[in-house]
Amino acid sequence: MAKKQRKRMQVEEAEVPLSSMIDVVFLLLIYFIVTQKPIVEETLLSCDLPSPGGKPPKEKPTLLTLEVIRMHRNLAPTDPKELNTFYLNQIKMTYDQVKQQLQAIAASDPKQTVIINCGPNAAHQKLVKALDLCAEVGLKNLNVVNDESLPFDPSLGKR
Amino acid sequence: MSRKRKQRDDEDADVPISAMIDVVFLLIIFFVVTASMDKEIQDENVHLTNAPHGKPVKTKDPRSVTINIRADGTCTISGSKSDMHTIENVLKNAAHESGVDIPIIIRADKAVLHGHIKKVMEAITATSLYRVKFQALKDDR
Repeated sequence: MAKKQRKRMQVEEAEVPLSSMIDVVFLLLIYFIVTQKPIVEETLLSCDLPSPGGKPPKEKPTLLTLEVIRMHRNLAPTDPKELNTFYLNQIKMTYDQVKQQLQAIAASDPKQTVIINCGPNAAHQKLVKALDLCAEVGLKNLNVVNDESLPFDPSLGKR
Repeated sequence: MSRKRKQRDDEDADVPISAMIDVVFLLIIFFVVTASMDKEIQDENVHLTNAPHGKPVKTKDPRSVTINIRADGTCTISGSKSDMHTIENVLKNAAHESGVDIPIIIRADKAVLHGHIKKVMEAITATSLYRVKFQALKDDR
């Protein structure tokens, strides 16, 4: 009698639902696979900052200044038209023209220092675009300078 | 005969449940650990811009300080909102602990105006740090 009862108990114990356990495992697996973000490759664009209290660099004939300033105040800061215009040594140029010029300069002197003068109302995307352009043509001596002459208008970012 | 079938039932149920639970917990712990690696440093609300020609990041300097700047100009360091004063304090402490050559990584939203970043850059130069890196996605779009 006792033997029979024990045997039945054993059978009951072993009936913990296995298939549902497997279901849970798969559910967890699928949940984590779905929620995991795709791996995006990231990059770091380095530049030099002016030393604190330092004077603005003196104008030299070999100095190359790429100006990143807000061109169209009525367009969004990341508008493609806005992102396409730069000033290279005070001459207005499109992205492709700047690229051509910088490629020619990088071919003759890859150590050429480029001063990137960034205005306060330009979108960060535009600055990164300029840094990326310099990285593409192989110029490594980059100085990011803040343009102090222009007033900063935070409302221009909300468009 | 019927007794034999019963025995086979017993054998079927012998698939190790405790081992199965072990596997479940192992999976949970594995995913929890791998998922929360960089979460604390990186702000979810920052949409990085693309720079397809930048060098890919292979090894990150463990001393580096990451500053997130959202589209509206608010800054966060390791998950907490920070004003210029706290950013300067964090940078001062970091420079004091591991030297002035530590890299500062700026994760700025693509739509943020440069004026907001300028303030952060001024805080960086004020603490005599000079290695600034802008983070971007190496995505060709």
